[in-house]
Amino acid sequence: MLRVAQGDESAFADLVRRHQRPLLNFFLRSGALHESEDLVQETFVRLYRYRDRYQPVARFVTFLYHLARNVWIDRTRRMARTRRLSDALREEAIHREQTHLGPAAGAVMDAATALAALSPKLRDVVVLHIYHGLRYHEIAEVLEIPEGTVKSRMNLAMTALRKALHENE
Amino acid sequence: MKTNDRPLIDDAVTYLAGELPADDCARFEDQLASDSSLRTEIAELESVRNRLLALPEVEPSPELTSRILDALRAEKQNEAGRHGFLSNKWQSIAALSSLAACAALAFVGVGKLFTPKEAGQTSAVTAAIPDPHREKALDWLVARQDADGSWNVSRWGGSPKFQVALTALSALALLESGPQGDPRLDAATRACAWLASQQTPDGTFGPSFQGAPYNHAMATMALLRAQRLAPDDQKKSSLDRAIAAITRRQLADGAWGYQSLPFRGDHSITEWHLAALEQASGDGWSGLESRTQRARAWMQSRPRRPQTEAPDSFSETLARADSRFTGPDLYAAYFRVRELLQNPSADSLDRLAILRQSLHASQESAGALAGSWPPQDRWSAAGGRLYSTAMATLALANR
Repeated sequence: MLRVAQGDESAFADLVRRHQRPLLNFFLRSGALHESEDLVQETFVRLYRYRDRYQPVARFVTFLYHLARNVWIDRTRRMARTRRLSDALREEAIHREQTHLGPAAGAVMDAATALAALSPKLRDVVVLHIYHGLRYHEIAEVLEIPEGTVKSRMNLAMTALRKALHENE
Repeated sequence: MKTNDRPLIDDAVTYLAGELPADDCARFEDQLASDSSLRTEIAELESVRNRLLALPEVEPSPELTSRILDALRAEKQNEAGRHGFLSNKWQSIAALSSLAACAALAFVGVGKLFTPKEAGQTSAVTAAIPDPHREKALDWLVARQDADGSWNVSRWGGSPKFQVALTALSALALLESGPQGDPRLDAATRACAWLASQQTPDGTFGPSFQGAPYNHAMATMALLRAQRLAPDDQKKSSLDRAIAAITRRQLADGAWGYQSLPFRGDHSITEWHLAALEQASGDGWSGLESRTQRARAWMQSRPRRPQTEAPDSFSETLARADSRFTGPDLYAAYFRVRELLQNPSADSLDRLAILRQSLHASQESAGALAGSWPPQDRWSAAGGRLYSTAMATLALANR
């Protein structure tokens, strides 16, 4: 990233190739669908724009996911007027599972559905920790919340996931 | 261990995350050694973690790296004008994001609208009375059509990536415009010719991106409808390849998915492709029955996710639409009309009249936009005025 800050385009290309796949999956697991590649692109554009502000005091991925998180927040704010498909899908899935399906109806909630059914706050910490290997203090930096909040959200999320995945089996 | 043993459960999660402080970790492991229920707890949490980790990752499309680097070069060149760049880019992202939804919802309706049994039929509850509002809408669509047969989606607030889908929706509205010889059918014919020109060597329509299956299914539906009205070898050839692309992209479990999520079926995309295959099957394409059966079986086997999935019936659709019909919701209005036309009851005519009056009332009546509908419903912010006008026009069709 320091090479990027000095204007080395090939270094930036390396960063893109290395991190585009994890970023794409970050957005997909956060709830984006068809727009996820656009969000990856926007994250790299912002990374380029903020290249001079990067300070190597923390892991690069913490900085990267902080930017990605902000891209996602901006995206959801802009779409507040017209509900996103993925939000609608998630809300409808939760509502339906709670009111129409349930274990008696034979609905087996798979891991993807269970993850999607988490609230965004809980899902964020699970995605960043489980899939991207961020430590709690790093997640706290990305999400701009206290580390204790990360811990409590992770606990709540895992309890909810366990309940969804095991009690429906 | 009881499930309400909150502190211990929390410690178990934190322990598995590797975040328990050293002292607490040693104490926890001591307890773990002597507490079988705690070991069960840990095993269950590990199972959850493993199941999450087992979810497959998605590969970026091959062109993503070059797309990003192109965007960065543009950013480099235009750093002074950054705000304008971002504004445009975000408008594109915002529009793109929910167009799939609007198109999905619209297409479910289109699929139902143009089922084979309806070919050439007029509803029993309504005569083919010319509707001046619908006539104006069709005129508006025709007047805004570009010389190449498509519509400039960006000009009307839609996402250019879905130019194929929105041109197809407009074509479908025009194809319902009247008997053979209606000059508006010429516009539909040119639209379908443009759609055919967007076919790529692999048989699909439009650009390659994650939401491309929406474009492909809607274009296929429009061409099928056009072929039914005016068969020719060129459309037939195009449709052969389009249908082959649909069958080729069907997943082993019978579903279809987003382009970049080839392993995972999606309800709305599956319904679109299923509707296209069913129409094709009804129109004489052979060998599709087993595929449509598998697709239907897949849809029936999956938990339903309202709003993005196909409804079991128009009644179900209507029930969903009813609960949200609090404003100028053209999608809901469309489904209300379809339900009333296909399942007439004693008060259908009255209800149709009320709906049509409300559609008429929301139509632009003056100026250059006269005849169109404002992009004010929940999906038209993404699909723009073209979407809202095409949907309202389809809702005003008599069959």
